Amino acid sequence: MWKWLDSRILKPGLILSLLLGLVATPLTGVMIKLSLFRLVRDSDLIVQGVVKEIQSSWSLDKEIILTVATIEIEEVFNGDSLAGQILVQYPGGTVGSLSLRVSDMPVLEAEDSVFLFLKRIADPSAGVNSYGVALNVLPAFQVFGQAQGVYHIDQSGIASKQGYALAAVREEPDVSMPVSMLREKIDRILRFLREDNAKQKKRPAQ
Amino acid sequence: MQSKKRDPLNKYWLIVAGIGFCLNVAFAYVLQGFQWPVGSNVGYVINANTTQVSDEAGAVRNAGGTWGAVYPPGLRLSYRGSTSLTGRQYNGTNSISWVHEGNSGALATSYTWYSGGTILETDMVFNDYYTWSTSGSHYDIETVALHEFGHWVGLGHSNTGIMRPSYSGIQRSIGSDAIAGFMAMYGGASEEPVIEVDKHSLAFTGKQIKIFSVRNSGVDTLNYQAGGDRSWISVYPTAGTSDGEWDDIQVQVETAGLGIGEYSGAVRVTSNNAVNSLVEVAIRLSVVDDKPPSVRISSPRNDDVVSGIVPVSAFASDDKGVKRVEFFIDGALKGSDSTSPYLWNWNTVGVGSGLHTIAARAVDTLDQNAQDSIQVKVDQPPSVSFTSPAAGAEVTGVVTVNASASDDVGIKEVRFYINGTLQLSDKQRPYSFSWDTSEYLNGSYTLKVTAYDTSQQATQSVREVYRLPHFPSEISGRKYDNSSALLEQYINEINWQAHSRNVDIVGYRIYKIQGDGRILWRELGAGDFSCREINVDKDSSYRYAVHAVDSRNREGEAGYVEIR
Repeated sequence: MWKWLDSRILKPGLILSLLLGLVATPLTGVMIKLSLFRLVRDSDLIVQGVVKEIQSSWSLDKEIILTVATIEIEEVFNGDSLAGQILVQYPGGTVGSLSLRVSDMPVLEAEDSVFLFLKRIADPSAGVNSYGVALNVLPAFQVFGQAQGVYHIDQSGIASKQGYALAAVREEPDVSMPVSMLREKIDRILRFLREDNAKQKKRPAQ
Repeated sequence: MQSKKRDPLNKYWLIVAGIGFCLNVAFAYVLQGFQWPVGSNVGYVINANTTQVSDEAGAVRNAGGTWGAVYPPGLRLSYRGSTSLTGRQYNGTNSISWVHEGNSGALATSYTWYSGGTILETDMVFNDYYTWSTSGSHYDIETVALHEFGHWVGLGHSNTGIMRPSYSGIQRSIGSDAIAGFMAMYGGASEEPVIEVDKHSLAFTGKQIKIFSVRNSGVDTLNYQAGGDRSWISVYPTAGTSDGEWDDIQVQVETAGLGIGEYSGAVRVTSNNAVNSLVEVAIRLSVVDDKPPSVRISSPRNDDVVSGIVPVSAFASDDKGVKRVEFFIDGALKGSDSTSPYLWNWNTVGVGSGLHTIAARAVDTLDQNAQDSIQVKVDQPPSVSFTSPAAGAEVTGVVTVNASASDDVGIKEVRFYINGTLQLSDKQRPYSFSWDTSEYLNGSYTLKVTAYDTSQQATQSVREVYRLPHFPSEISGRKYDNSSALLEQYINEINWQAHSRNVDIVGYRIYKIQGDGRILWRELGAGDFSCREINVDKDSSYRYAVHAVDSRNREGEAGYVEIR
């Protein structure tokens, strides 16, 4: 255990995570934990980018408010080779004077620098409003694991995530770390998955 | 565990971590930045629709009850019964339900609707994909609900008690920090009256009227008015006195002049004395791309003259559906039809003569409406009746047929018919017609009189009369001497012929006329055209009347003959 804590990578991250606990996490909901491994393995797309625009409006069925964030991609880590912009949709937002806050959902704001674990929206036009026209134009995704799938990157290069609660978990690693560390972890996991996948292919059929 | 020696860096890290931990502990509770209005009674309903456990509603209510037991003066949590609602829609009802949302990682999700810093509605959805229990063997319903209720009242995550962002095992208590936060938000109320409303939001999808209820825990006058310059919202009544009872307040929105889109406003409930002197009911109006209906009155037509039962019909259409068509006479709602063809019968009996407006208003499914109107002239039809001859009268010779006709505006003409053939059109009072029956066969005749008013409305009256048989023709008589050597005898002989306009004659009757009276003397067959009276007095004068008799045993006109 202490050897693990001696890690020059993990120690600063854990310290930062405790310090970040000073920041209020005023969101709601209860989730089960999605590990970084699972986030990497089960995402359709992992990107680092900047939020360029936020648009909120009522869903077609008028049940909820949806927000669509336009993300300018800086780097794709896994998934389709995309360039330019993608759209990320999530429930919640503000239309007029009415707001909807959905627990565990990420809240993105323009100019946010983010690290996103994404799932492709099977039917971009389903359940979206007039902004769905744009969803059909640009690749459209939703965040995998809701707020667990969004790291905000601050000006000092720390990637952190918040805004959700986990059940059956006493503590959660990988909440906050330097973005370089996050990239390195993701790379390791991807390498492992590729190697494991190669082994699976070499294994003779039973 | 390979290294038990801790280097200085590790010690430094522990110090920093300890400081952070202490600081975190000092940060006892977190407010989300929005909360229910102080004085609210937040009711919630439960849809116990998971099949995994049998008492999920009880577990949720236990959680609500744990928060309710804190009993801050400024907020009450009330269980309001079961519901069939599921999900998260903004509908004015705080609902808790189970929905299968798949392996999303979210065990339970709260949807909090708010405006400014005021919560309007909160829905809680448990993900039925995951396994739940009420005993802690799986995800514990009461524990999760206890956490979620904390968010309902406005608390965010903190690092102690039920509002920790991560926890395990069964939790049945809130924790002192969460209670402190709860009281910080709602603990400031006093014993002063508190305004309560049963709904914190109303959603409209067109021109509609909806109702919310309000009460004040103390005697006070409450005022209700649309917030801001929301001229599309109207409230009735605008004020009322409440002494603990619930009063209904009617809110109407008007979409005229508003473009397609979403509109937000509020109805403000205010009081000079209540603790929460301003309680808002949020009003949300969605003006959608639903064109108003169209309607056209197809019958009667503009400027028609009508009377009696007037079928009013209208064509109505709408892109989303016509809910009903209402019919108005002179602005007053008289009838309604919800299915096509849209019809209503207007009974004009008793309606004053003159111009009247018929309007048809189509209402679509969003209560948008359109109206068409026409003007018609009500002119009651004339009345007409026979004054003579009497019904069933037996007539002969020249018969005067008289009729009486009247109209609220004026009689134009009165027409007389015999067996459907026009005989005369009379435009002057008295309305009469001389019918010379001598040209008609004996038998039944239908007299008809039709009166026309100035609007060419017609009314007719019909009467049956009976033309009696005509008198026998060529009737003649003679007296002749039939004496013999032994006997002096004189005989009166009467002869006649059948009348050419008699039909269905079964015989003849011959009467002897004596003084002012007469006696039936002979009844003969239809083929008899002669009879004799024997032994009449040579010097006396005799008078006879001969009548044809028809099959109805009706005796016709008399043919007279005098024999001297």
